[in-house]
Amino acid sequence: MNQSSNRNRHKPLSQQSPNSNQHSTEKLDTWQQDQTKPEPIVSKDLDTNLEYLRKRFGHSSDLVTRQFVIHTSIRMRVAIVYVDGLANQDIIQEDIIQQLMRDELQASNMSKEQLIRYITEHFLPVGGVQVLSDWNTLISNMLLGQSVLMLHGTNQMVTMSTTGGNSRSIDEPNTDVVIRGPREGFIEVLRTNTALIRRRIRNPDLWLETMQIGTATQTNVSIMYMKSIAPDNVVNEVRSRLKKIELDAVLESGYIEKCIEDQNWTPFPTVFTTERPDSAAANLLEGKVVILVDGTPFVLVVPVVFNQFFQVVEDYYSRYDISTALRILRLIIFFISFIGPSFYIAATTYHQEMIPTWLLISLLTQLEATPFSGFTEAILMEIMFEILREAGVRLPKAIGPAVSIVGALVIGQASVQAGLVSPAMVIVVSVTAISSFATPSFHLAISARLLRFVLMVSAATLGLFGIIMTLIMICAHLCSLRSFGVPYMSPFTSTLRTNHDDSLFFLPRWLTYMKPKLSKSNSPVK
Amino acid sequence: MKRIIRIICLLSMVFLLAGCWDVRELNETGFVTAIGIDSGQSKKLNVSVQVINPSGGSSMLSGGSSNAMSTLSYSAEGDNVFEATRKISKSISRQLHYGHTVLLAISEELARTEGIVHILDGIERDNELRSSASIILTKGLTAEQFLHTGALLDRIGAMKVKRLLNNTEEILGENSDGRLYQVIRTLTSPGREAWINGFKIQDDRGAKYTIADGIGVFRHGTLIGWIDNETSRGVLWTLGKVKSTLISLDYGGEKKNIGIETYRTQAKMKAVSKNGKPVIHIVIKAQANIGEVDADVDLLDPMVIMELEKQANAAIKEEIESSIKKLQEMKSDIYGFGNVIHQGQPKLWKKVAADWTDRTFPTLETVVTVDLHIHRLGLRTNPLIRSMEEQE
Repeated sequence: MNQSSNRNRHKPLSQQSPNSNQHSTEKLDTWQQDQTKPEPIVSKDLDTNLEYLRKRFGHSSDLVTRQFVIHTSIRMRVAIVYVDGLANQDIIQEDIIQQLMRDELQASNMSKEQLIRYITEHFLPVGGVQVLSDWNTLISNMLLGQSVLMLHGTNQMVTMSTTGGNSRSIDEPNTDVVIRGPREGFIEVLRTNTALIRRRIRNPDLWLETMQIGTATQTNVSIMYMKSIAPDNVVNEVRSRLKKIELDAVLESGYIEKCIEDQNWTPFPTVFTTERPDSAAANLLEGKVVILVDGTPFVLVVPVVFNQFFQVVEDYYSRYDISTALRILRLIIFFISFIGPSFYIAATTYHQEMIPTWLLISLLTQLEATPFSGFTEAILMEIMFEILREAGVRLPKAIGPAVSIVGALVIGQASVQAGLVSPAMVIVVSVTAISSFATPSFHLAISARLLRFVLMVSAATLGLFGIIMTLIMICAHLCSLRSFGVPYMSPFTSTLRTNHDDSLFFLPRWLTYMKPKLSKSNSPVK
Repeated sequence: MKRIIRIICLLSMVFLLAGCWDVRELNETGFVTAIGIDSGQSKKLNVSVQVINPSGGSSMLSGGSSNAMSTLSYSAEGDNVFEATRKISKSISRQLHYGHTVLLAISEELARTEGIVHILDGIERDNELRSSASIILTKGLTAEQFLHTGALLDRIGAMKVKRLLNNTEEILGENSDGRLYQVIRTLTSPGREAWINGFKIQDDRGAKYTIADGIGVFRHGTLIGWIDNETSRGVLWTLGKVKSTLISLDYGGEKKNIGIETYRTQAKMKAVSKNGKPVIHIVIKAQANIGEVDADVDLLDPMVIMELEKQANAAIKEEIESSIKKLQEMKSDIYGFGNVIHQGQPKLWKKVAADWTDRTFPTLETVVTVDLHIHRLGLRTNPLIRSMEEQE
């Protein structure tokens, strides 16, 4: 593990993805047809084999076939084959080719099979070495970055783990930003990500299973769990759900997420995603299962409960009172981002008696000049803001500030001065917008963003009654959700005190004497 | 899938069929801050409403010295309050909303001739109007005039009246904020009469302003007279409505040279039966500070403080007793003594209930106990006069 990660000389931001989107669908189809055909057996002739491989890869220019001769009692032709960019060229050159070319092998009177064994035992200073004689495994190994040593005159081939290639260096994650806490974030390379987790939990009890998902992309997907903590049924469930996935392509963990969710018809996320190794490690120690997908820094955590989206890793690094206060604040923020505009609509169009008189007077003077009804105004502003937000995310960094200035002027000032909307509405929309950014989980914030419009419609038609009805429906829906068999709202509904220690409140460790019921063992927390 | 679509269709029908039936945009609504009720010319009542004028208010907000009124008054006549308020819609382009009414003004003349009982039913029945609105009597002028003038004086005239009442209740204790629900409660419970704050307009060198002036005393829902100053404070002491007030004491032969400030006052009433006749025990507990001393007195001497306490007790007792005497003459039990008997001695109440107002209350025996303690001297210990004399 360490060896390979040391060998991988990470060059910042020269990222290349082996699973890039450039396959045309046509090509995919033919590839799949090939897959169903029986593979030809490996020939003993080196040239035939090389030719076969070149053909399989469509004479792609990144397939490197290096032929040379090794000296035993007889001169023997060999070839090293690897995919350029996936394999670490330095290892291949310095440790394999050099090694084989330099010395004369003291191997006379050996059969070719014996020779292969001899070479692997004495001349290949590489971690993982495998002797194969089957094209399928060989090709999939090559696509993982391994290189293949072929000898003329035998159908056995040696694959060597020379995985390398360029990837982004470990960087601070863009989401889940913390003030206090480790700065490392996951990157696109699966192996590095698993290493980042292992470095935090140095325990053989942390088990790792890997499988390939995606008939076309053959993406590596790993599940990690603490064997003694994670409940077996959850692990089995995760494994079986992953096995059932029939996808052509897995380009991001979102593909997996959609396939393994318990309930697809919900705006709420039932799978937790994180970019932080410490968050993943903490979840593992709580008995959860982490799913890592090659090619993305976002790892999935299951099962998850609603409350977890309000928790930030930093809660565990700060003092208890502050963490608890912040958690409650986040819940309030979520509610504001949820019902902010709809509450304003309901209060101003149906329940004027609820507004304090002096506030009402100033609202009246503001609204006197505005042409639209409260609902129209709110929808207008919300859509305007959504446009700005969407534009802001996609824009190149250089133009970003320009848009935000224009947006601030348009939304904030011009629309009020032009008499289109009232200043109060601008305040409501901006508070809502800020709240939706302050919700720690982007995935939860985005569902609130969607449901906000539903709530606005119900507020415009039925007032507070409509809001309450919709909230009741949403609440019922939330209670009906499950994430890998765990009720979504479980810490709130539980009557066990231990489940509340770390839900809305965050009790000091010396007060939490049991692990949450979610995990298998009820062992006391040390 | 089909089922889900069907459910979504049904749910969306909830929204569409509801059709925003009681939707009311803010800029299509007139918000009433005060209602005034007078007797009408052609019909029984003349109801006027004070409505917030949004465009007038805006000039206030931006700090401009525009002369636009922040409230406007409209009035209409009708045989009952309900009819009259609906008639007002003839003269105003907006639907009226009564949810923010903070003031109900009834003219003295109407209260004296017609009484208030039949007015209040329509007002309380309305689901928009809050029964926590303050109720006042306009003294010497019609409620309509009051609302008109009130609008000129303060940004929202009705709010001023409410704040003024709160303020005087807090620091003077001669008036107390009387709420609509309180008046209705007193009207409907036995052995209690209503009282309502009086307001008048004072013309001070051309500038008109509203001032609180006395308490209107009712008997069976009809105004019978006014009480003021010490008398009204005496009543409020008994009712426990004096939050803080000041009492002037005489010391060393001089008149009213020491002022003390009471706070945290409590009043308890208890009915006992004595020889088959009801007796009311009133216990007042209060704490006080020394507010002002204009006499050569050693305040550090506990005996002096005790002497002052004794005097203050006597002064308060005197105030209460004289107020009771006055109201016994007026034959109006606004203290609710009858109610205290009704609750404490129900059997006795049955005997006296019939002629309570006419005979029993005017001759009722009351025992007043005042227990006042002076706790603090203020920032100065000994009076200024004393320190100056010591220097000499």
